[in-house]
Amino acid sequence: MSISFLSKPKAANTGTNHWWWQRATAICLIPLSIWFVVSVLGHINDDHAAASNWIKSIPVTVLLLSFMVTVFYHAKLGLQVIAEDYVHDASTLKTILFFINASMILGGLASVSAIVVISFIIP
Amino acid sequence: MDKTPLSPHLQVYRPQLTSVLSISHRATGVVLSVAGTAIILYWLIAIALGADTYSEAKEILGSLPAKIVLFGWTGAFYYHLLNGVRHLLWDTGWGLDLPTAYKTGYGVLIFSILLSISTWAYVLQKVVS
Repeated sequence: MSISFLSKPKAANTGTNHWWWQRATAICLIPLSIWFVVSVLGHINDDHAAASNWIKSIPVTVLLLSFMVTVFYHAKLGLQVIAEDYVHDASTLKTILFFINASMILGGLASVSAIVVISFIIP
Repeated sequence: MDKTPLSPHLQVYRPQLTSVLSISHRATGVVLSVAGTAIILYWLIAIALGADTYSEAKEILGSLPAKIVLFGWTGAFYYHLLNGVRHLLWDTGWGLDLPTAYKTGYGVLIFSILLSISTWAYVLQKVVS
């Protein structure tokens, strides 16, 4: 039986990199996601002024930006593994991976833009 | 065309706690990646667009169907968080033996249910009061 696919240097390299980043983002997300959920629970009744003033404070802006960027990167890595495991057709996989990357990048950009607008642009 | 190694089909196996928890980690991951981030994004964009959009979003997110979806969000979040810690512990080599894997598995299930219920007990009394 051929095991030539096991020795492809490209797969070995990106595999380790992917594995490492998935764990690194997971570890970062433990405190960040708990902070996010607890904070949002504390601001559940906020009106617009209270909610935007909360996000405008520098520590909150920084934490929220870190949380959103890490979430979207972690989501991209996770969705990618699932697609690679279950999509058996190479060209379909390529298309799906493109949509995963595109939507996670768009999501990340949209959330960063929204936070920047709240923190630095709206009164 | 070279074939890369793939996971076997799930239906080959008889479901058991460990395998059900494992696929649930992926399922909650997909739900949080797609619907979870979409809800957070909706909330952030509503604040960015101003007071009118925000109060509209607040009303929509406070409606009964949204509450049910958000309850699902909370459950998926706590499950993925706790089971994710379980995975990280496995990466260090801890807890891989079958009795411990079952104990931590039940622990993850029980604590995600307890945390979801207490979170919503808090939310409901805070929203009402």
